[in-house]
Parts: sequence; structure tokens; C-alpha cells
Amino acid sequence: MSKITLKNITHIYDKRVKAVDNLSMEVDDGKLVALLGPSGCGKTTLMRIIAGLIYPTSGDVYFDEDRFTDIEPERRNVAMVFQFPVVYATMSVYENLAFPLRAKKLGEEEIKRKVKEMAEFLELTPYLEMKAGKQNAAIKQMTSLGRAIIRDARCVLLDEPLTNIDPHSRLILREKILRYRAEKKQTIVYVTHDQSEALTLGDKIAVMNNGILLQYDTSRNVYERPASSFVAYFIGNPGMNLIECAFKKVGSKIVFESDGIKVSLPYELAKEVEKETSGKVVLGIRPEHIELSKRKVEEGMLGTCVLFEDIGITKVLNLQLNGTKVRAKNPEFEVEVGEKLYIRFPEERLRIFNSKGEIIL
Amino acid sequence: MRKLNPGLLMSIPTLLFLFFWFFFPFLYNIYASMHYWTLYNPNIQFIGAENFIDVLSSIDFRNSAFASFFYTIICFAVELPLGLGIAVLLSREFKGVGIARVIIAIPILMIPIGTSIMWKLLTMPKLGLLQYFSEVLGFGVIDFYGNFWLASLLILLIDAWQWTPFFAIVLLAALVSLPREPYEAAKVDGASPFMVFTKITLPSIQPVMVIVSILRVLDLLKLADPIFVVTKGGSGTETLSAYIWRVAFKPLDIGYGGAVAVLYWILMFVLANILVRRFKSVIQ
Amino acid sequence: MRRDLSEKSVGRRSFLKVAGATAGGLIVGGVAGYLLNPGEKVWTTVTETTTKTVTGTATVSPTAVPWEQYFPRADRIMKDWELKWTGWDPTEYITTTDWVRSIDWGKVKSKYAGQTVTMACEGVDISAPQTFQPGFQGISGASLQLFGIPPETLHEKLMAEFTAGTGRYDTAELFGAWAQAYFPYMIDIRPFAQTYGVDLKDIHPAFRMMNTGPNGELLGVVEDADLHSFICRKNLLDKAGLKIPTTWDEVLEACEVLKPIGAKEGWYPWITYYSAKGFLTFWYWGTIAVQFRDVTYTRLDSWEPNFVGDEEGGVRALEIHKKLLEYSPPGSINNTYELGREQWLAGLGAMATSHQCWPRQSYDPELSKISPLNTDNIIEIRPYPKGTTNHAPENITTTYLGIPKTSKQQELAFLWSVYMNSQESSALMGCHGTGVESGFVSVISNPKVWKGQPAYKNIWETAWTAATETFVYIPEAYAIEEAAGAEIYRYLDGSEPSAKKALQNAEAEVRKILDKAGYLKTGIKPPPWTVEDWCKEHNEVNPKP
Ligand SMILES: Nc1ncnc2c1ncn2[C@@H]1O[C@H](COP(=O)(O)OP(=O)(O)O)[C@@H](O)[C@H]1O
Ligand SMILES: [Mg+2]
Repeated sequence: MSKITLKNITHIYDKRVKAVDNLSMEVDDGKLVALLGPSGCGKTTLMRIIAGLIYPTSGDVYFDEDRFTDIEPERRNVAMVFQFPVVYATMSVYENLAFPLRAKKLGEEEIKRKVKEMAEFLELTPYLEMKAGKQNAAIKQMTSLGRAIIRDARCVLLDEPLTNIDPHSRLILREKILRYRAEKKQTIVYVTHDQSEALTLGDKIAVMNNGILLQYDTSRNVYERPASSFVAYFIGNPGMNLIECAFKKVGSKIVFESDGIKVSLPYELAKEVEKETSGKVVLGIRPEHIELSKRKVEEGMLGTCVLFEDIGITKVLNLQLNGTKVRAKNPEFEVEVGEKLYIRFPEERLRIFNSKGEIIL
Repeated sequence: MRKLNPGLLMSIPTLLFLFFWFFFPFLYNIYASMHYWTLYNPNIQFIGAENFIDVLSSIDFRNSAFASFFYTIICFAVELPLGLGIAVLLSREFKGVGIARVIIAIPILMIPIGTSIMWKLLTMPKLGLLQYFSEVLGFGVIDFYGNFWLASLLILLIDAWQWTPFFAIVLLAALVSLPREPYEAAKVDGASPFMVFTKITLPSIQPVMVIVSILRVLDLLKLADPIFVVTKGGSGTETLSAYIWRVAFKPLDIGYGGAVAVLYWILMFVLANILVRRFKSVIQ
Repeated sequence: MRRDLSEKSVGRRSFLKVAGATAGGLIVGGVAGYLLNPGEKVWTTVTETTTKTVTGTATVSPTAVPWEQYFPRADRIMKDWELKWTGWDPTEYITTTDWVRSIDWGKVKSKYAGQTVTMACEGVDISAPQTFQPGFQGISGASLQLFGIPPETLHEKLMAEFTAGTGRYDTAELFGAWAQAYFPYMIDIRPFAQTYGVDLKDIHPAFRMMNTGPNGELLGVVEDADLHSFICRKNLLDKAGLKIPTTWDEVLEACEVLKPIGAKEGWYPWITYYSAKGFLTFWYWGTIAVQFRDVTYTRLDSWEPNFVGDEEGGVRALEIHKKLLEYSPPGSINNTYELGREQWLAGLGAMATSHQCWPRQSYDPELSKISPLNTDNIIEIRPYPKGTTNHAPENITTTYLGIPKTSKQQELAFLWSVYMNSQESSALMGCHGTGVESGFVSVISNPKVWKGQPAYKNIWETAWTAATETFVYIPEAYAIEEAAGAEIYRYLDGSEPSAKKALQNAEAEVRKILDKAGYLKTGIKPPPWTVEDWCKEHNEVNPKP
């Protein structure tokens, strides 16, 4: 079990597609990092670089303090589960699980014991003697997971392991991963584009877009203090409301104004925005932090509900404030479409981004 | 009255075709084999199993059966691994691999007897290029036509030259159509190239390998062209096919030829069945 | 139009030269060489009827008839170097008599103009009929279609066509050794010969005996008449201080002396004409065995095969056969005619026995590396080496042009067969080095012809002593030769250490075939197997020099 260090990794496919862009990060020994990002942002590429299946265009891969960039994948001792279930189709499930152990030239007795244990753990025992190629996607992925975790690898890379299997099996598989992690303290990079998965599983979250690592932090920080407007919008369901505003200093306050929006913050708190020469910033507020009232409230803005979605545990409201659309989330609030509401953005929940999307406040 | 099964009705033309193309000649052959019957003698006499007794007690028949099996085994033992090796080499991507794949197919396109003649010209004492090199290198003139082992070597060379590419091309097609993912998985799992080849590649192409091997083995049992060209069946190299041609076809002895053909057919049938049965699960 | 008869052979020789140079050329050549010889060729009928018109000096024509331009004549067939070599006047006929010149072709033309006749030819000799095709079409007004069939399948193919009665071929090349198998399906050509004044007695009895039926009926006109001779390169013998051997003992002694010399200079004392397992083994052994008079293929009164010989002459012959292989290039035990010929013409040997083709082709500067025309080689042709007898019986093989009973153009087929195989055309073919040899007394005894085919002198002088090369003339001849040859072969390849035992096994095999076919029961006498005996039985004069 090792620490993974990536230093200035860049990978360009076919001299044209920049899949990973000058990416550096560290995954501490025994931690689970959830790598999150939209499809095509370079997650798989990064995993393959760590595994050694791709030689990066530039940059280096370290395990603990040793440089592994030039080491063949078969000598890296990294385990990986692929996005699409990969099994050795002609072998039995047993042989699949035994494969990495045979590669390590373990004794037959030890292999037998380990495979049995693993099969038990993953509930694969009934399938052991069957051809792996003939199983369904879930069993295949379970086999594939077993193959990855049956040996003591430096780290385990899970590339969207749940994406291509049915929802029921997904739950079982996730549970197995969690239990494995709890027992083994293995270094794990868990790729997903499902943020709830990322937020619940990860010790740390890494958010990527267009090959760039946007934020690498604890899930709490990623949620509460997104490093950029992209992260702010990407994390959360729905994502953070982002409203472009003009601002000006009025007395001891700075007032942010847009069509139908008017918010003010104490000058002392928000004076950083004054560095923004364009005179414009982006105001961010999470839907679940918006306060709603049917009665007039102080500093409340008037809006109309144009869409009301009851999604069970919570309700999502689409509100129109003149020319600006805002989404709010509230588990209790009941409202008719067309009703007028008073809306308030609590000061402490407001985030401010500059025009490049970087967080200011 | 029971109505005739329409499916059966539809298959009657096929059954008739099969009968006339296969069963009829075969039954005719059995009939012929029990008679003294030559093309030039109008009197056909029933002689029971005499032809069969003659065939089975013939030294040449037994020797040629041995030769057929011998060549089948050595040719197969050389061609399959060599063809597989070439297929593996050509399945990699390198500069000029496209041209290499075309070139390797050329021998298959040649007419078998032409291949044999080409090799004969290369090995003629004092005249062929190979003999020239042999003399230059101090080995002297090699007796490729009169010595059983050397003639067999030449026959093997001829057959392997022509048919190794057959294995290579079919196996190459199988190799390039294999999914890439298991190979990456295996690398990550720490498998050595040898382990990857034996545990993943070979099992994956095994069905194709078994099918081409069966086809080739049945074909090898009929080996005749290089024998005619190299030795005319002399020096112990006469195969079953060459034997049949010499003792039955050439002297127009329908009866004796029929007996050899029936025995030959039984042999092939049994063998084909054993092979197919043995490898049934693999093919499916 | 002149056609190059040896095109194919030349192609093969120059091909061999290439073989020494590049392997790449070989591969291409191998393919091309094969493509040149596909299964069955059909030549479209040539409609233009002119042969080469004589230019230059005035045409001297013994019989000034309008169709003279279609008569076979040296300048219409031969190559320039051949004409120069023979020293003939190219516009004169070299034969004294030729039935083509006496047939009334005007009458023929009025009867057959526009009709078609077909011929089945042995693949390798296709150039022979092709040469005479335009002339025949011109002189008869009919058209001729040629079907080339590969030699190795000709016999089976013809038998299949004949037994099936297809009538596809009006005339076919028939190998004399198997003539008896064809008899039931062929017409007797004597009536046509009578009508057209064709003198069939001009065919030497040595070449007629195989194709004559029990009642004197003749199967066809002889097309190719082969007889063995002994050939050697005298210059090599001279250098070693050797005289030309006349007996087999002398041959073996000479071989022993020549062996070390050849080893140094890159040649072998002996070239084996053919020896491959089966009928070729039987024939080669047979050519030697008949030099020991006590060997009779069957005892003349009883069908009892006698290969061992009363004084064990057959055993002696087989031992000689095996010894010769040791003095030949490696692998000669399985030699076929083609391979032996390559070896001889490439200069790999000092001595050999062969038909007339090797001696004549030895002279061809384009075909042969030992041609006396451009090297210091001296080719000598002598009678077959003697065994225990004073006479050296020769060994015959012939090809006939027969006419199947199913043919609907029998007369036209006959006319084609005598046109193509007239005295003049056969003499020219022999002198042209095609390997197709004349069998007419008037030709082989003609010293003028000897200038173009030196082997004929020896043939003429020894043919009267000849015996058949094959087993007695019965339909089972081929099966017998094949079976006996395979047994005899076992001594050559060492799987049967005793020559006598091998021959006895061969006798047993042959007895079995004769028994199966019913000969042992009938009590009929086997036909004669020497020319002398045959002439006696048929009340003919055996032509002697
Ligand atoms: N083998 C490849 N060749 C060229 N482009 C590729 C290749 N693999 C991926 N890409 C491109 O690189 C980018 C990143 O891909 P990938 O790493 O698979 O993203 P993700 O796993 O985040 O969905 C995408 O634009 C994709 O089209
Ligand atoms: Mg991916």
C-alpha cells in the first residue's frame, strides 16, 4: 500500500486531444480519493497512466518516493477495475480470481485458500467453476473486482466500476467496496461521475474538467467552498445557482445587482471584489440555502414559482425573478405554480466568483 | 391417412442430391470393391473380400499408410507452431506489416504441383540453387530424392512452405479480432508475456486453431503432389493417395481401387469423427 | 508459318540457367512454368491456309501439284542452325518416298472441305500435331481441333472416353505399351490404307508388332517409335584412356574409372534414364535384362513369368541396375524421364542409355550444355551394351495415332493421321529434335536422314534384333509392369536385400494378376516378344541392314 504522487502529468492523444493537462496530486497511503468529473474529462486516461497502460506525454508517476513512470504495468503491482467489466472469458471464475496470484507465482494451496476467501466475500462461490465469459455484467464486474483486490497491490484503481451494471447489483458491489476499504485500509482511487457516490465514499474528492484538476479537497470543502464556479455548479443536485451581477459600494455595504436580484454584503466582508476591474462578479448560492417565504420579509426579493418538482425527500422550485432564473430546494415548502414568493440569500451562504470563475469569497 | 410432413417434402431435393453426389458413388464403390473389375475387361466377376485381403496384405499399402501418418504428423507439427508464430508476429503493429501480411499469403495462392516443381528445381543435384549452396558450404550434393529422410525433409519443406501461411493467415485473423481489454487487464494483473500467451491468447484462439488443424490434418492425410514430384513414390515416401493412384487408378483396376478407397474412406471417417468429437466442446 | 517445336524445352533450359542465378526468379518461373502447362488446351481452328511460301531461289518441286505448298518439307519445319548442320538443300525432300505426295488431295478437299476432325494429344508432345495443323487444314480444307491432355492422365482419360463411347475424339495418341487395352475400341486402319495407297509395311516390324491384333489388324499409324541406344561423351572416355564399352561389364569398369575424375570435375559416370518405383523400374531393368537371353517375361508356352532367368540373367541385370544408380547423381533411384534428361543435357554424366531423343537433343546448342556444335564434346551413339548374348535386343516403345470406332470422321481422321505421320513429316520431326521419332524403314535406313538424327543409324542397325520393352501385349500389361516394378524396386531401395527374391516376388505378383484375369485357364499362347519371332509368326521379312 503506497502513496501515489502525480507530478505535472500531461497526456495528449494523437498529437491533438489533450486528455490530461499538467495535473499534479497526491493520494495519501490508505486513503480513498474519489475522482469526479464529467464524461470525457480525462479520468480514465489518468487511471491508465497510473496503471502504466499509457505512457504520459509528460510528467511523472511516483509510488511512495519512487519514480515509476518508466516501469511496465506488469511490474507496478497496481490493481485496476475497468469501466466495462473485463474478465478472462475462456477461464472459469476461479481461474480469473487466481490469475494475479499465479502471476505472482504463489503456491497452489495459498491460491486456493485466497480464492475461496475472496469468493465467499464477494458471494461468487456458486459461480467459481463456471466460465467467466458466460456470466452477466454484474458477476463479471464482481469477478473483476475480486481479481483486483485479491492480492496486496500498491493501490487499487476503480474506474467507474458501477456505471455499467444494473442498479441492484450496483448496491451490492458498492457495499463490497466499502467493506473492503474498511477492512484493508488500501489506497484507492475511485473514479465516478456520480457526485453522491463521491461525496459519501471519498476521504477526499478530486474534481476534474477538460483534463485539469480543478479542486482536490475534502468533500465538505468541495461542497461548501468550491474552488471555482464549475465545481460549484457541478457539485450538488441541482448545482449552485450562479448569477452574474454588477456591484457598487453603497455606504458601508457593497450592493450586488442583477435583473430582479439585489443583495448587499458588509463592505468589510466583501471588499475583495473591488479588485475585479470589470465591475462584474458571479454570485453563487446553493438551492438548499435559499430562504423562502410567502410573506414579505426584510431584504426579500419577489419571485414567481414557474415549476415545482416534488422529488420525494425534497422539493425543487424554479423561480423567476424578473429576468433571472433561480432554483431553490426545500424539503417542506409547498407552493402552487404561479404563486409569488419572497426570497432571501443568507449572507453567510453567499459565494462570489470572479469573471474567470475563480472563487473570491 | 397421415399427412406428409412439409418439412420432409422440402428436403427431398437435398436428400436426392446427397444421394447421388455422395451415397451413390460410395455404394457403387463398395459394389466395385467386391468384384474383379478392370476398365478394359468386360467380364466383371464377384470375388467377395479378395480385393480387401489383397490390399490389407500388401506391404505397400501398409507402408503408405505409415508414410501418410508420418507426413501428417511431421508436417502438422511444424506448420501449426510455425504458422502460429508468424501469426503472432504479424498481429503486432509495425512498419510494413500490411505488406508482410500480403506476402505471407502468396504461397497459398500457388498451385500445389507448381510449388513442388519449384522446390524440385531448387534441389536438383548440381543444378539447383540449394545444392549449389550446399556444395559451397562443403556439405556436398544432398540426396534429396533418393534418401527417405532427406526426401521427407524436402516434402516437409514443400508442404510447410505452402501451407504454413494457411495456419498463419487464419490464426492471424483470429488474433486481430480478439478484444484488447483482457490483455490490458492481464498486464495490470502482473502476468508475464508467456503467461498472457498461454493463458489468454491460446485459449481464445483455440476453437479456430482446432478447426484449421482438423481441416489440415484431413488434407495432409491425402498428401500426394510433393510425393509425385520429389520421389514418384519411391524410397519409402509413398503415401496412401499416391499408392491408390499407382495401383488402382493408373492400371484402371476399379475393383482393387474400390477396395483401397473404401478402406481409406473408413479410415478418414473414423479419424474425422474422433477429431470432431474430441474437440466438439472447444469448437462450440 | 514455322513453329518452334522446342519452345517449351528451350524455355525449361533457360529457366534452369536462371535457377542458378536467383531464387526470386525461380519462384516466379515456377509459377509461370506451371501456368504454361494447364490441364487441357483447346486450340482454336486456324483458318488461314497458307504455309510458308518459298522465297529466293526457284522452287524445285518433284511433283508440281497445286497443293505442294502444304507438303512437309525441311524449310517449312526446321530451324536455321539445323538446316546448316545437316547440309541439306532445304527446298528438297529428304525422304525417298512419302505417301502425302501421292495422295490425291484435290479429291480429299472436295469431299471434306469445311468439316472438322478432332484429336486427343499427349500434353507434352502437343507441338508435333500443332506443327502440321496449318498444312493439313490447307491441303484438306477441313479444320482440325487439338485437345492436349496431360501425359499422366492420358491413358485413364482415353479409356474413360472410349468405354463411355463419347465419340469426342476422332483420333487419339495411344501409347503402344498399353495398346491391347485400346484394341476393342479402335478401327483397323488397313482398309483406308488400301484406298489411299498408304504402304503400312514401311513401318518397321519392331514398331508394328505391339499394335497389330491377333488377326493382323493394325491399330493406327506409328507416330513416335522409340528404341534404346547407348550414348556417351567420347571425349571424357578418351581422357580417361577408356574405349567405348560394348558390354555391361565394360560399362561398370568404365564407371569405376570415371568416378573419381567426375567427382573432381562435377559430373557422374552414368545418368539413369528412368528408374522410379513402378513400371519405370520394370522398364529400365527390362532393357538390361533382355541382354541376357535366358530371361523371358513369360515362358512362351505357359504364361509363367520368368524374371529371374534360367541362368539367373534377370538377377544379373538387376544387380547392374543397382550398380548404375551408384554411379549416377544422388537420387537417381527415383529418376523420371524428365529429370534424367535435364541431367544428361546439363552435362552431368559421361554415359547413359536412352531413346533417340537424348542423342539428338545433345546436339542442340540451345538445349544442351554438351552440344558438339559449340563445345568440344563428342557424342557417340552405340548399340545397347551386351549381356551374355551376341545380339543386343533393343527395347521398344511406340505411340500410335488410332481412330476410335465411335468417331464419325474416320476417313478424315485417317487422312490426318497419315499426313501428320508421313515418312517426310516423321523424318523431319526426328531431325528437328522433338523427341518424336520416325518408325519407317525408308526413313531410318536413309543416310541423308542420319545427318539430322544421328541415332537412326544405330536404330536401323539393331531394330531387327529388338524385343518388346514391355510385358507381353495384353491389356493387363500396365498393371503387370506396375506391380512387378514395385517388387523389383525393393531391391534397389534396399528393403529387399536379395535381387533374386525381389524378382521372384515380382513373378508371384504377375502370376496373381494373370490368374485373376483368367489367362492361366484359357490355354492360349502368349504373343511373341521379339521381332524375329513376330516376323516368323506373321510371315514377314525382318528388315536387316
Ligand atoms: N485512445 C484514445 N485516442 C484518442 N483520444 C482519446 C483516447 N482515449 C480517450 N480519448 C479522448 O481523451 C479524452 C479523455 O477521455 P477519457 O480519459 O476516456 O475520459 P473519461 O474517462 O473522463 O470519460 C476524451 O476527449 C476522449 O475522446
Ligand atoms: Mg472513463
